[in-house]
Order: sequence, then structure tokens, then C-alpha cells
Amino acid sequence: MSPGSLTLALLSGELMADVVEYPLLHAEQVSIRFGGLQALDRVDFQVNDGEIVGLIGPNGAGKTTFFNCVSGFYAPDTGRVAYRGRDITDLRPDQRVHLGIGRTFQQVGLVRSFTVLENVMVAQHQKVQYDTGGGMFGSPQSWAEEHLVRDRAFEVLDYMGLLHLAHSRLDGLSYGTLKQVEVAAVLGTDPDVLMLDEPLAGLSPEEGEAFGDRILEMREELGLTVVVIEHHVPFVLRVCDYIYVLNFGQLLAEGEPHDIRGNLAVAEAYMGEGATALA
Amino acid sequence: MVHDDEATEAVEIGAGADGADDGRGLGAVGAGRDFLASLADRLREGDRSPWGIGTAVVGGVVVLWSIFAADIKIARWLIAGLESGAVYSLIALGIALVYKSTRVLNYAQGELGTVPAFLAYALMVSFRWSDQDVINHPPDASRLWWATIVAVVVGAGLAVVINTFLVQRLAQASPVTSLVATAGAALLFISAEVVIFEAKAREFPRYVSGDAFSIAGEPVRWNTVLILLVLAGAVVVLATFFRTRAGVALLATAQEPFAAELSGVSVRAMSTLAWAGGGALAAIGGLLATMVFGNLRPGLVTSQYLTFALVAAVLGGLTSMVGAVVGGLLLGLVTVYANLLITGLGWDVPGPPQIAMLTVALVVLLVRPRGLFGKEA
Amino acid sequence: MARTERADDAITEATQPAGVEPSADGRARHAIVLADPRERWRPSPIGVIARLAVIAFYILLVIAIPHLIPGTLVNVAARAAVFAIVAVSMNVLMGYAGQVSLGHQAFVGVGAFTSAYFLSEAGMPYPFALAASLATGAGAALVLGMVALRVRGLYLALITIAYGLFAKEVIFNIRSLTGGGAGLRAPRPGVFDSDIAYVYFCAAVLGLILVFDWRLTATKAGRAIEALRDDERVASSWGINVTAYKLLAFVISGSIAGLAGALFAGIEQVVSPIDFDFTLALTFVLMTVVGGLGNRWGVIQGGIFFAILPTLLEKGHSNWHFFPFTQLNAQWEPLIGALLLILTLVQFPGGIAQQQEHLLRWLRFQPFRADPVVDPALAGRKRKRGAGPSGQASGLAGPDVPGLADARPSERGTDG
Repeated sequence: MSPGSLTLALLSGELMADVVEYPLLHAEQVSIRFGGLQALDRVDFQVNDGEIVGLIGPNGAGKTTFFNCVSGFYAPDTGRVAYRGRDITDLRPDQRVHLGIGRTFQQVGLVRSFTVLENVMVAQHQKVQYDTGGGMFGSPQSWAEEHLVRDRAFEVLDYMGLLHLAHSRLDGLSYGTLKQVEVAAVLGTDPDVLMLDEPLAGLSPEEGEAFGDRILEMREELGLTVVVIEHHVPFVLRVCDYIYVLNFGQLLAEGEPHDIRGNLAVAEAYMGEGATALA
Repeated sequence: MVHDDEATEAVEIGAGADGADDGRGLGAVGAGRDFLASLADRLREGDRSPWGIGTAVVGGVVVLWSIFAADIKIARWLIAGLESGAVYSLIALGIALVYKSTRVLNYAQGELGTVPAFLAYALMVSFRWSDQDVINHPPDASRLWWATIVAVVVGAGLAVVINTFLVQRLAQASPVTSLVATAGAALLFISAEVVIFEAKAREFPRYVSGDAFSIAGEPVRWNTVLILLVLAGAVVVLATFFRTRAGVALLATAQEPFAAELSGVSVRAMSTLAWAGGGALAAIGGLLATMVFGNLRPGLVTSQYLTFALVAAVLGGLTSMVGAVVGGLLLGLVTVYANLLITGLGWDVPGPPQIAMLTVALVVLLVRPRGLFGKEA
Repeated sequence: MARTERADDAITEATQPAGVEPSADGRARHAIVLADPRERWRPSPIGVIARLAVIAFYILLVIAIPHLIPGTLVNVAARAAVFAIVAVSMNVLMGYAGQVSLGHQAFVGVGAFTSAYFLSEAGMPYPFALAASLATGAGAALVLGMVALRVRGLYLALITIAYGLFAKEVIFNIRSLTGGGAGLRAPRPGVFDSDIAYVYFCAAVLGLILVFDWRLTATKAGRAIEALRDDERVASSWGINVTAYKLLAFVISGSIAGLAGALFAGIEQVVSPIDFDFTLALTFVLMTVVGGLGNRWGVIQGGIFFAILPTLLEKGHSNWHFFPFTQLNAQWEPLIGALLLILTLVQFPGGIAQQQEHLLRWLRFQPFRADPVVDPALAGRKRKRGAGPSGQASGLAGPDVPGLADARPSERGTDG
């Protein structure tokens, strides 16, 4: 996408990727093992364009590990990950960002010595065209683009309702706000698919509710596809089009929200305590 | 040995404290396996890798060839290598002990040796160390033995002071910050030595002199024998200590500070204990290093031994006491080998020991960062 | 939308006159910045004049100093400029990239010997020697940088220590290249042969490097490097190629250090291996840390301070008959330095720069005092918590975000 595409998306309220026959994101038989622990065991996973997909399961089920495999932080032992039909299993995380995969972290992923604004600016890294030399020697292009980067950062912050905090340092912010800033920063990378790892942690129930609305809104306005890990089952059931349930690294169930709702009893039988936490 | 009984208990204590959702922090699971089994494992691992076999074969051929080509006397090599290696080992032991308990790489470990050595010197000259006095009253070697005891106690005390007033205050900082802080402490000690004793070398008596016996025509000095005996003694003392209640508590704290605290072990007291031990080892190492040189000058142990001892500790695996001893002796053998090789071949290459040291450091950290006996990278 | 609404409310609250809608929380009202955050703050005309006057004073001071001090001490001024350049180099690596270097004397030495070799042995022109120093410094740092890709934290620190010792004992003792223990002659460039002219030359290079350093931090590469310092995973999740930018930091730092080495050689006009002892590396580290990691104005002050400290103590000891100079001489320099380092680490982690936070901000054409922006959500939370036991937990990052509540290491100089 071009550097201005986010602007465009914000203005038109519509930005759907080209129609393709491939699913947006497709993981096939992904397995990974840490020492004695099979963290993921032949997981199949698929996300179509414009969907909001939930990934649930008890603690230690391998949800974040799966995110790490998709975003390139872990290399799966076996299995492939494809993006719009292109095999991305061997790409570095930053190369995957270039393709349009954006993610947040379970524990706030921000640069903590930067202000809110600087965080959103640095996240636009790949949208900046000039090179290091141009920057250090002060080429006209670098000056012009820096203004653009700054404006775009303000735009994203405005969209997230964080404009008033632009110059704030992170240590003055609440946990919930930090999570919002993190989403703003990832939007700065101009993603097609947004992978959120427990976005509700640290939010009050009302705030969680509002964040659900915000996700639905982002899909409409920015044409985003969303994958979300969340423990809060009512939220997942409300927001998601499709849900995957992971347990001990294995796919326990998948389906549309009403199927999963019905399945929860079964899940409990498998997961015991974990399912209680889920419900 | 010291390391194999390493806290099956501690692992159990730690087992409940796993809060993380995912991650690679699961290495501790296998930590309880005993040393021999893991060594066997390691050999098997090596067996499988063609690179391992290839390197071993090529390395063996090169060493054999070089021994003939450079006319290296094996006895001389072993004696000199074990002598400097034993000093590396003693200092590395302290580094490993301190690192194990507080996760601090102590750059001041060298000066924790030089300062006590200077103190011993001051005691021997009855605190009159200006030029004129030393000529009139040369160091009184008869006081060396009790000066040693004072020096070791002071070394332990100084280490505790560093821990209490510097390292513990930086407990929240990154390990690198703590390293820089201890480097500051080292610089502080060096310049204090310069201010008090001036930047020059001073004659230092030895505990023992003369040759003990000879192996294959190579004389072995009593000094060398003493150094090796001291190292053996330190190993025995440490091994015994880690079987006592306090020793087990120390290991448990090193493994799982939080869980240990919950089960009534004072983490602070344990870190003090470890630093005191490290300081005492440093003082012993410093005195022996001084005797290898036969004289003492400010910054001696830091400039001549510290970097090698750090590399030795890493070679052994940083958290492993056995590793520190083996690493030190190995590094001593390697550096002396490099020296003999290059002199024997008549090459004009400066600093063979430093070349060997950097090579060992790079190879270990790039190929096997957890060292020979370490459990974590 | 509760979150955004609440935020909007907070802004409305704050922008309205106080009497219209009293806020339940005075703190939130006070803290909200009234102006549009998108607009840059501009000082008043008097403020501009005052700032320009102070800056002009500093520039004049730099120009005047070589003429004000006794002729025998002019070389100390050149040394100060060179140490300041080394400090900038250290700062790129330690401050921006967060990669520790306890062997920086190796890069400076490589630069010094390269320039000396090309000038006195190969008879090359000065600009060529300078460029060669820059290149070898960069090359040496690149090698270490490649190691740093696999080796981190303490292990990297260890490698730099070993590398420094290796450089001093091995590289700088290769007789055919460095003259061995005797050292090499390192003439100055013809135009700047006099001591005073050489000071200006070094100061000019320092000025140039400061401009590059400023542009680095204000643009893409600098931001990327600083982001990966804080968290490599987060940086790569934003599309930053961590490997490339880490190497870049090493290369930039190494080039500056190599250049500093070439200038260093010209001060005494001779270089020998003993100049590059491990204590020099420690001095480099402590001047950077005491100056304030991450802040270019802080670190150059640290560099200048540690360059002149030995001379200051020496001259003070022989000329000034009052405490503390009666007690101190140049031998005390490392001791004072070490004490300052420890004091900085334990008590003032931001170093000199932190102490001058307001002044430095003011000189960057920003307000002397910056009003902290407070998160209205957090203020709301606090209010709630005060209201009853059912309130939400404090918003400030808990154990989930280690270190987030830590003091910021230092004020970064992104805008100037």
C-alpha cells in the first residue's frame, strides 16, 4: 500500500483489499516444541478477508505461541504459514509487517522511552522512503517526509481518541490506555490484518465493551481483518465471526460463535478448570 | 561434584511459580538431571553432528602437527598451562559464584584480589611503604601467613561492601548496568592503589620457593604446586559447602529467588554470603597471581588476569562452579599452548595468549553460549 | 466508545471556563494541555532573543577558549574536543542502540594507527588518512556488530572487553603497521599545524558530527535504533529490520570513533599501543554514563570534563592553595571519575543531562518547564479507587510491564 493509504482509508471509510481466491491468512499443520513441551501440535488456522476471528483457550494453550509463529518470532518446527497464498514461513517479522501483518503483544509492546507520538512515528518505519544517509545528511526529501510522518501519527492518534496524549510519556499512562496506544502504533504500520493479544487486559468491563465496538468500527472504516486472543468469552462471542479454541497446543474446536457457545460444555469436559475460566 | 546436586529441590520449589503463558523459558525443566548423564548426552549430541567430528579431527591433527613442528615440550606446556590456568580458575570461581547468586558479572573481581594483596604487602612492611622505608625494611616474609588471613577476610569484606552499597542498590537495573557499576568499583580500587602506593611495581615475597620435583626433565616449582593445591582446596571447600544447609539455600536462591524467599530463605543474606565467598576467592587468587609475577603493582590482577578469568568463567558456563575450574584450566592450557606454538615456530605475532583468549571467547559464545557446563544461554 | 468519550469529555472540561462545569478532579483539569498538540510550541520574541544570546555566548566561548588559556594547555582543549567526539560515538552505541562497549579504545586506536600509518609510512594526503580512519573504525565495529547479532547483554560486554585487550596487545603491536612499542608519528594537516588551529579543526569536526548525530536521531534510522534498544521484538513487530539497524549503529559508532582516533593521534603527534589501555575504555564508559546516556549534550560535557580533569587537578594542585586542590593531584582523576560513575548509576541515572533537563529543553526552543500530560483515564481511575474498595486497580503498569514505571534514562535530544 502507498504511504497515504491510511489517510485514504480514513477519509473514504472503505479500504478492502483486492479480491483474491486465497484466504488472507492460512496456517497449515503448524507445530512447535520447546524442550519437553509440545506448545503447538498440528494447528490449522484460516482467516478470510474482513473477518474478525477469535482465538481462545486456557492459559498455556499456545495462543501467543501461535501468534509468534504467524508474525515470525518463532519458526515452527513443521507446517507452513501463508499470507494471501504466499508462503511466509521463512520471512522475518519485519518482512511480514511489510506485507501487512500487524500485531500487539500480551504485555504492552511499546517503546517505553518514547512519547506516545514518537511511538506512532517509529511504527511508520516501513512507510518512510528516504534512507539513512538521506536522513543523516538532511536531504530535502527527508525533511518533507518527516512532516508527513508526524502528521500521519497525529491522524492515527486522533482516530484512536488519543490526540490529547500525543506528547505524554508512557509512564504516566494507565494500562488500558497503553493498550490503546499500542493499537494506534500498530495502525501506524498500516496493516491489513491486525492481530491483538489480549486487548482487554487492564480494561474495565465498560471499556472492554467499548473496545469491542471499536474493533467492529475499525473493520468497517479501515477495512481491517482482525485476529484476537482474549479470555473474556462474552466479548469473543459478541465480536467474532469465527472462533478457534486451543488447548495444550491442539485445536479443540472451531466454528461460528453459536456453535462454540454450544460446545463450551464439551470444552469443559476436556479442559476442566480452564473452561471454567473461559465461561 | 559441586554442580550435579544442584537443587533438584530448587526446581521443585520453582515448579509452582510458572506464570508465563508461553515462551522458551522452559529450559529449567531438565535442570535436575545429573552431571554425568548430561555429559553423556552432550557427547552423543556431538556424535551426531558431522561438524563436531570434523572439527575434533582437524583440531587434533593440527595440535599433533604443531607439537612436533614447534617442538613443544608437553611437560612444560602442562606445567605452565595448569599454573596460569589455576589462577584463572580461582578468579573465575569467584565470578561464577557471584554470578550464580546475584546475576552480576563482577568486573571488580580482579581488584578484589589486588587490594588484599596490597594490604598484605602493607602489613609485611609494617605500613611503611615509601621508597626509603622499603629499602631499610624489606617486606617481612615471616608475616606473610597471617597477612594472608587478614587479606582474605578483607577481600570478603570489600566484596560484601560492593554488594551492599552498589549491586543491591542497582537490583532493578539491567545486568549490563551492574557490570558497568562494578567496573567503576574496579577503577576506584585501582586509582586508590595508585594514590596510596604509586604506580610502580613492588617486590612481593613468595610463600614457598625452589623446585619441588621434575617431570620429564621439566622442573616444577613449589609455587606451582602450591597454586594447584590451593585450587584443589577451594574446590573441596566449595563442594562441601554446597552440601550444607546454607549451601543448598544458596543454590535454591540462585535458581528461584522468589520461591526461596517464600520458603524462609533470606535472599539478601544469601547474596551477601555469595559475595563474601567471591571476595575471599578473589583475594586468594590475587595473592597467588602476585606470586606468579613476584611483584605487585596497581591494577595487576585486572590487567593481567581478569579478562582471561571472565572468558574462563564463560567457557565453563558462568553459573557452574565445575565449569569455572575446568574452564580456567583449559584456558590456561590453550593460552600457554598458543604462546609456545608461536615462539616455537619463530613467528613474529604479538600477544599469542590474547589471540587464543579472544578466539576461545568468540567460539564459545557463538557456538555454545551456555558454555561447557552451563544450563542457560 | 466510552473510552474516547471520556477522553473527549476531559478535553471539553478543561477547555471550558472554570465556572461552567466544575471538574470533580482538579488534577485532571490542570494537567490537560489546552493547545492543540499538533502545533509546535513557539517561544515569545524575547524568548527567542534570550535563547539566541545564550547560544551565541557558548559559540563565542568555544572560539575564545584556545586564546584565553596558557599556550601549554591548548592541547588539552583539543583533547577535550576529541573526547567529546568519542562520547558521541559511545552514545550512538550505548545510548541509542543500548549495546554496551567496554572496548571502545580499540576503535579509537584503530583509527589513530590507520591515520598515522597512512600519513607517516605511506605519505598519503591528510583527507585520505582521515577517510581511511573512518573506514577502518567502521570495519572494526562492523566485525564486533556481527558478533553482537548473536551475543547479547553481558556476553557482548565480555566480548568487547576481550576485543579491547586483543586490540591493544595484538593489533597495535604488529610492528610493520604500528611501529610496535615505539609507536608511529602522526603529523597534523598542514593548514592546522599550530596548536590553536588544531583545536579549531577538532572543534569543527565535533560540530559536524553533532549535526549528523542530530539528524540521525530526528529521522527514521535513529528512531529505529532507539526502538530496538528498548525492545527488539516490538521494533521488529513494527517492521524494523533489527539486524540491519543494530549493525548500522555499530558502523556509525565505529566510524565516529575511528575519526576521533585520527584526531587523537594528531594531539601529541605520536601514537603508541600503551595509549589504549583498558583504563581508557573505562574512562570512555564513565564519561558517557556520567554525561547522561542518550543525550548528546550531556555526553559531550562528560567527555570534555574527563578530558580536562587530569590537567585541572594537576594545575590546581600546583597553583591553587586551597581545598580541595591541596589534597588532590592528577592521580586522583580515575578515583573521582569512578565515584562520579557510581553516584550517577545509584542516584542520578540520567547523568549531567538530567540535571540540566530544563536548561537543555529551553535551549532547544522549547518551554523551560514542560507540563506533564496526565492520562484522564488514570485520573478517573484514581477517583474511582478513592470512592470505594470496588474501584479498579491502579492503571500504572503493574508487574506485567517491567520497568515501565522506571525513570526515563534521560531526556532524549530528538528535536535538537
